[in-house]
Amino acid sequence: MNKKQKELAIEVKGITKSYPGVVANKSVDFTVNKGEIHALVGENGAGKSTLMKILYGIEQPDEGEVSVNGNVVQINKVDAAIKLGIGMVHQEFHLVPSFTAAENIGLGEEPRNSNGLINWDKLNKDVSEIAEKYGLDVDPNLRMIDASVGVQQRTEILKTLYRNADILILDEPTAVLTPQETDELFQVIRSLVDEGKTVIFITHKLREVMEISDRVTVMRDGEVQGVSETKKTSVKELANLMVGREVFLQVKKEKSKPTDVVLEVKDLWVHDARGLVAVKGVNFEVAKGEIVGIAGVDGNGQTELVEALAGLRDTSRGEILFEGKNIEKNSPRQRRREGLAHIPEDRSNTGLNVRLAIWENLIGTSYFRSPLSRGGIVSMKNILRHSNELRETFDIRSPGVTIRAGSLSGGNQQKVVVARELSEEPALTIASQPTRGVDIGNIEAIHEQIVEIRDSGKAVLLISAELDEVMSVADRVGVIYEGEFVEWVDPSKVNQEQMGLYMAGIKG
Amino acid sequence: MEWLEVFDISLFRSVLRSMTPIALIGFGAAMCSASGVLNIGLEGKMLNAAFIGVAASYYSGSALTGFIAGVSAGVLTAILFGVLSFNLGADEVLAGLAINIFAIAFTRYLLETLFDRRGFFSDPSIQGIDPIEIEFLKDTRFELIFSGFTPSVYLVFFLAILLYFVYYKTRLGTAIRATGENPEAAEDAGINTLRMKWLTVIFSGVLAGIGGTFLSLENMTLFTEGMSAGKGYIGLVASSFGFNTPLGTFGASGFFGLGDAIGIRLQGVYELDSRLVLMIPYALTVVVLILIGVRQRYRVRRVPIDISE
Repeated sequence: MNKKQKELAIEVKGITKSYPGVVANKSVDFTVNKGEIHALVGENGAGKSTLMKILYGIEQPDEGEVSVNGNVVQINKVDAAIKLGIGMVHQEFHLVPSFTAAENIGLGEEPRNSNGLINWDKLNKDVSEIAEKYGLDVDPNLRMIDASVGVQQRTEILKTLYRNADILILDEPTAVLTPQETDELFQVIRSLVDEGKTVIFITHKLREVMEISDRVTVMRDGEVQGVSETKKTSVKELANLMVGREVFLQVKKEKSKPTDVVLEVKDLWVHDARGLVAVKGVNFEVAKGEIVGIAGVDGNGQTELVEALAGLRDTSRGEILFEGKNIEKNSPRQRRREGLAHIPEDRSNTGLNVRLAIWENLIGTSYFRSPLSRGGIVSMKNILRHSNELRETFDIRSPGVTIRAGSLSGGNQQKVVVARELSEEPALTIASQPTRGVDIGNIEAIHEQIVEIRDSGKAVLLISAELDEVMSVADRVGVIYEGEFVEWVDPSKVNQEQMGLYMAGIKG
Repeated sequence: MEWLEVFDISLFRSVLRSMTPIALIGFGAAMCSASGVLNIGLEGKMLNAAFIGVAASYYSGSALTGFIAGVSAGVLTAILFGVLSFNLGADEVLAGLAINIFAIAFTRYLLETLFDRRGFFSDPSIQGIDPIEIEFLKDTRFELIFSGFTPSVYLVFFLAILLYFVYYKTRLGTAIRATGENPEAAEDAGINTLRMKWLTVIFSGVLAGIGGTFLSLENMTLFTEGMSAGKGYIGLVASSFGFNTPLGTFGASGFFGLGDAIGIRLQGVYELDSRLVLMIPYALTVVVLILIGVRQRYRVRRVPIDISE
């Protein structure tokens, strides 16, 4: 046996897959060695998901072949992938909330007694055994509705292991985790590999690639840009391969010069949709000329806080002072008129109407004002002129303003939202997850824009679950945990590890 | 004292009879809801079954033929609902409503064209389904309580237990519940969610069919226009009140049956306006819906802010 020739868990040759109008995979070659941790990186739309869907039997390739453990195979449905020992943990968990961990893990494969009824005791025991073997801390009897994100993710991993997966595909598994939870996940991944499993790790966080993977494949525009042993590459090199040009990973900005306070939040309490307290008496200020960041894992009250500030959710107690006036009772439109702009986190539902044209989205907050309309009648001429101006100023890449907003890429959709919100030169811009689903090239542009707003003497409140983003863009950062600020920090004076502890609610 | 005892037993028997169609519909609705289908078309399925059951029994002279035809009518109507909602992509609520309205017109049309009657159809040659005398209860004190009901009444008890096992102890049950709660999770586990939905819809059609023939061949042997009289909707409320679980639905149906039975009793005993009394089951439905609303409100009750500072 030639020792150098490693056994391949997966070998993909010349895969091409087109959708109407796009080629998602162009003759892709991709190999994964047995027992390695292989990172697959690339921006949104680079073709990673398509490739993984083909491996998992959700999509069929137009051309090319797939081999698993050395045999050419047809994976025409998910069942076939599972039978070949391939398991996938999706980015959005596929769990039944009212079921326990064990019920979710065993779903469809529950062990049965001779009378045909499910043997729940055996299922619980089997689940505990597998969990212990791979160091996955999960209580089989815990309902998913009560489980933390980390536990939910481990349950998803157990689901694949219960079905005897040898090759695990993890799709952006760290997106919803704190740095500490990420470390725990990495330990799990290492123990999986120690037990002989193979892991494909999809991500766009290059720091994680460097930390966990043995080899890395970079994709862009449906093509493989490069494959390398992780040791022999660098974050910088990977970033350039991903984007196809030189990338500045650090946001360039001067020190902030804050002046007058624009927004003052006093003892604000907000309930969430389920009636639970989501924001617990927060106090903070945002001044002109500064970017205030709010960091934290998703679901710690950020959404409710932003909605309350924007006028989309009732507050339960406290005050929101905007330029000294209490705006708590004002409608979103009144708040906009006062100079408060809001870039919502959910671009395709709250930020845009994706079924409407770009111009309709651009004037959504201003159509009733002169010169866009006069005496209740809209002026199409003025509207189109206004929209085209915004398209140029904000570099929205589209053939025109009359096409559907939904047909734009994520980055360009975001530009439409940003253009609309900034077109009225607001005193305060609340930007919630402004780069979610946007690719690196456009992220850079959005970050520059945020700094520009600040430098023109306006205020920005930036809310992001991406720690790197808040740390590099904001001048001051508050870490929110379960509806309360754990700590306010100067991002230049605190390290990732410390931030991770704050994000987990642990005070320094 | 003896008078009171008889009165109690007859009220109890009346409850069992009244709850039967509600529970049959309720079980079907509960299964549908568990698989994520809001099936409000059960009223129409029951009405069609009631009519077809009577018609088939009249022509064939056989109660069994009537029963089978009625159940088939329920299933066919269920298939129509499934095709509308699953294959043609109609809104489930609208498809259900359409079926309910259609059933009213369809049965009226057939009533007039087949039998040349308006309002109702009754004939000595309609064979009803006979009550069952339970042999081993004969001459015991339980004979008066449990013996001599038509088959559907017993079926309800059997179904409550059977469905409980199906729900919580079989792969089919977990598959159905997973389909309703998170279809992606179910698909991931290799469950064909569309098949699960079809299964529960057809099953609800069978039960609505049995419920329909219970109305027209078991309780009485006649058909009257609109004889389902909202029981399809009440069953839906019963399933919701019972958390869409078999035993919960059974209990809730018993509650509605009690309301119905007391209504009938009050009609005889007190000199109340009989029209007002007949409204009791429906008023009860509204009351229960309010209770469901309050229950949900209580569940998402705002956690009070702790003001201690």
